[in-house]
Amino acid sequence: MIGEPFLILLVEDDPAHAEIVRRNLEDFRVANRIVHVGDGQQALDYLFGHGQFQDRGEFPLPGMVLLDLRLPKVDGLEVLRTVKSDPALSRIPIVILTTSAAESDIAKAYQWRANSYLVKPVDLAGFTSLMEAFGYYWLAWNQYPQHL
Amino acid sequence: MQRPARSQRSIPASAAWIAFAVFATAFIGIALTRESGRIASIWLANAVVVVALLRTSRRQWPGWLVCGLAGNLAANLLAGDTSWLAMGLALCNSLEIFLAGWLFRVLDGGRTDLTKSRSLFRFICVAGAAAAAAGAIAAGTLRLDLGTPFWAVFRAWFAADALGLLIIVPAFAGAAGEFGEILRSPSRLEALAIAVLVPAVTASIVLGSHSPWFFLLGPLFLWATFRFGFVGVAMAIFLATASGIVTLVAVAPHTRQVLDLGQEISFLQLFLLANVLIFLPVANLLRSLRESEERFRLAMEVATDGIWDWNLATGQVYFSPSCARMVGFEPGEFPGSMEAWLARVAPEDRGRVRDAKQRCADGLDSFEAEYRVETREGGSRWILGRGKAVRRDGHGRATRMVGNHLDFTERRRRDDELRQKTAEMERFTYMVSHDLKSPLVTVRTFLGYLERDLAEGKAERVAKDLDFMRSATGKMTHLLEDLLEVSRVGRAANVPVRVAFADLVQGALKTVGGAISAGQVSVTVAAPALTLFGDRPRLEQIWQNLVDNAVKYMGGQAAPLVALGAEEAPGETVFFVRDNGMGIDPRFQGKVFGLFEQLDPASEGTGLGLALVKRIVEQYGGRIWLESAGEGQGTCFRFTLPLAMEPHDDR
Repeated sequence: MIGEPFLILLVEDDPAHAEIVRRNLEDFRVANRIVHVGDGQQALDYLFGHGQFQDRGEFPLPGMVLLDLRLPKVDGLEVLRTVKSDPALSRIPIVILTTSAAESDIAKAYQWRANSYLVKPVDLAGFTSLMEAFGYYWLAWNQYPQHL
Repeated sequence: MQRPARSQRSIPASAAWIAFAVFATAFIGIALTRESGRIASIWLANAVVVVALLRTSRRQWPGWLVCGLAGNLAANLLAGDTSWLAMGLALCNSLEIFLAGWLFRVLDGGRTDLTKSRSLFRFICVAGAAAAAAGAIAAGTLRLDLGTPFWAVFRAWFAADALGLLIIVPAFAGAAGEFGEILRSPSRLEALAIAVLVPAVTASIVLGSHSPWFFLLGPLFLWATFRFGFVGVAMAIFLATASGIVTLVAVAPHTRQVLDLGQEISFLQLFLLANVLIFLPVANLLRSLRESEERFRLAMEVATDGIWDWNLATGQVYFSPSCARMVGFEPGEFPGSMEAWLARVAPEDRGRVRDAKQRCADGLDSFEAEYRVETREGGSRWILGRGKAVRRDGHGRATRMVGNHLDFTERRRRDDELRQKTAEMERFTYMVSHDLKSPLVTVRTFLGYLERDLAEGKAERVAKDLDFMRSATGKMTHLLEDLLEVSRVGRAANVPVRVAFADLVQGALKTVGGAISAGQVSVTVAAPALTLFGDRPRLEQIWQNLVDNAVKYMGGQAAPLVALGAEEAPGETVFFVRDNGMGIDPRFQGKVFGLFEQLDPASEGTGLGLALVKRIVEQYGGRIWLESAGEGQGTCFRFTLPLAMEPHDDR
C-alpha cells in the first residue's frame, strides 16, 4: 500500500471524537485519507453508494471502517450487520471504536464479524498510544486482499 | 350446643316450661296406657328434660331434674297412683334422665353435636343403657312391691323410653332450628303429606291387625329422611308412634279382637325403635354428605381456579363454574367435552395442549401447559393448565383425568410490564453511562491537547481545544438536567388541579419564549374550551418539550410556524403540535421517542425530550404518534390524555 492513499471511513457522531481520531492519525503520518460521516445512515449510504455518495470516483470504497456504536438514525451494530451481510462489502475490515465496554456490545460486534473492537481511552495519552498501536497494526503490518 | 335464641328465655320461665311439658307428655303417655298395665307405651317426658340437660351447663342440671320430677309426680298422682308409687316411678325416671345426660356428657366430652355420626352413635348407646337401667330398677321394684312380671314391665319401659329419647333428643338437641325451616320452606306441602300419610297408614294397619304391612311405613320414613332429614324422620316416627298407640289402645279394641294388647304394643314399639335406628343414621349420613357437597360447591363457586374431571371412557367432562367463566360462559352453559375446551384454546397453542394431554393419557403421570384461550367475547386470557391421570386401564391408558385451570393473565401482564421496565432501566443505565462517558473522553483528551498546544504556542489550536471542551461540558450539563426531569416523571409531584387548556398552553409557551423569539417562530394556538385535570407543571412539560423540539428543528425554514390545538376524534380528544420545520424521515419515526435517541448529531439536544413527553403522556393513559411526510415536510405530533380529561382522584 506504500504510496497509495489508504482510505479510512470514520463513522463518528461526536465531532470532538472525530477530531481526536483525525489528529492522531495525522500525527502518525501514514499516507492515508479520512472520510468522516456523522451517523449510521450516512455510513450505509456511503458504503452502498447511495444518495449523495453515488459517485465512486469521488467517494471510493474505503480500505477500512472505524465505526462507533451509538449512532443517530441507524445504530452502529446495525451498520455492521448490514455491511457484513453484503457479499460485496463484507471483506472491508471494520474496527469498532466506541466508549462502550459493555459485554453485550462486544459480544454482538463479534457476532456480526467485527474485525476488532477498541474502547476509547479517557485521556490523551491513552488515546495517542491506542491510535499509535492501531496505526502500526492496521495500517503498517496488516495485509489486505488485493480486491475488496 | 349453645343456641342464643333459647338462652334468651329466663330460667324461671324455662323451668315452668319444662315442668309443664313433662307433666303433659307424661299424662298423655299414662292416659294412653291405662289398658296395658302400669307402664306407658310411649314416654317422651324424659326426653324433654334430657334435651334441657344437653343444652345447659351442669350447674343448672339439679334445677331441671327437679322440674322434671315435679311434672312427672303431678301426672302420676293425677292418674291415680298412690303417692309412694308415684314418687318411686318419678324417681326412676329422674335417674334415667340423669344417667342419659351424665353418660353422654362423659362419653362425648361436652362438645355435643348430635348431627355428627360419632355423637349420634354414642347417644343411641347411652339412651339404650339409661332406659335399660331405669327399666330394670322400676321393673324390679314393681315386682317386689306389686308382684307384676319383671320382663313385661322391663320390656315396656325400655321400649317406650328408648323410643322417646331417640325420637326427641337428636331432633331437638341436634337440629331444632330445622323444624321452623320445614314449615317455612316451599316443600311444606310435602311435609304435610307425610304428616297425614304416616299416621293414616299406621292407624289403618293397626285397625286391620295387619302387622306385617308395617313395612309400608319404610318408604314413608325414607321420604321424610331424604326431604327433611333428622327432624323430618323424627317427626314421622313420632307421628307413627302416637297414631299407632292411640289407635291400638283407644280404637282397636272396639273394632276388632285384640288378643294381647301388651304384645301388640311391644311389637309396634320395637318396630318403630328399629326404624329409628335405621333412619337416624341415614339422616345423619345424608346431612354430612350434603354439607360436604355444599362446601365443595361453594368452594367451586368462590374459587378462581377451575377444576375439571374427565372420564376418557365416555368422553364426559365435568367443568367447574370457574372453568366456564374463564372463557365467558355461564356455569352449566359450557359443553361437557374436552374438545369444547380445546376449541377455545388459541389455534397456535392448541396442538401443544392436545399433545400434552395425550402424552399424559398415554402414560405420563401429569402434565402442565401455559396457553392462551379465546373468550366468548373475543378476549384473550392466559391459562395455566395442570392435569393428572388418576385411573388407568390394563394397558396403562388413562380412563380418568382430573386437573385445574388457573387464569394467570394478570400475573403475566405484570411480569411483562416488569420485564419491560427492567429492560428499559438497563437500557437507561447503559445509555447514561455512554452519554456521560463520551463528553468525558472529549474533555480529558482535549485537556491533553491544550497542554501540548500551549507549550508549543499554537494559539489557534488552543481556541479550538477550548471550544470542544466547552461544548462537551455543556452537553453534560444538559444531560444531567434532563435526567433529573425524566426521573421526576412517575413520582407523585404536585396536587392535581383543574386547568383550562388555553392557560396550560400559555404557561408552556412562556417557558420556551426565549427560543421562540430567538428563532423568530410564529406560534398559533387554536384552544377549544377544554379543561384538563392533572399535575399542571407536568402537563405543561408536554407542550414545552414539543414546542422546543419544533423550534430546534426548523431547519432553515424562512417562515417558521408552530400551531397548537386540539381536535375531537371519535371517543377521544387529540392534541396536536404542528410545525413546518425539517420533518422526520419515515424510516426513523419509530426511534424518536426512544431514550437518548437523536437523529441529528449536531443538535444541542440530549435525546431525552421526546422520551420525557412520551412518559408523561403514558402516565395519563394516552398515546403519542407523529405524522411527517419526510425531510423538509414539517412534523405534526399528536397525542391523547384520557386520564386528564375528567376529574380523577386516584392519582
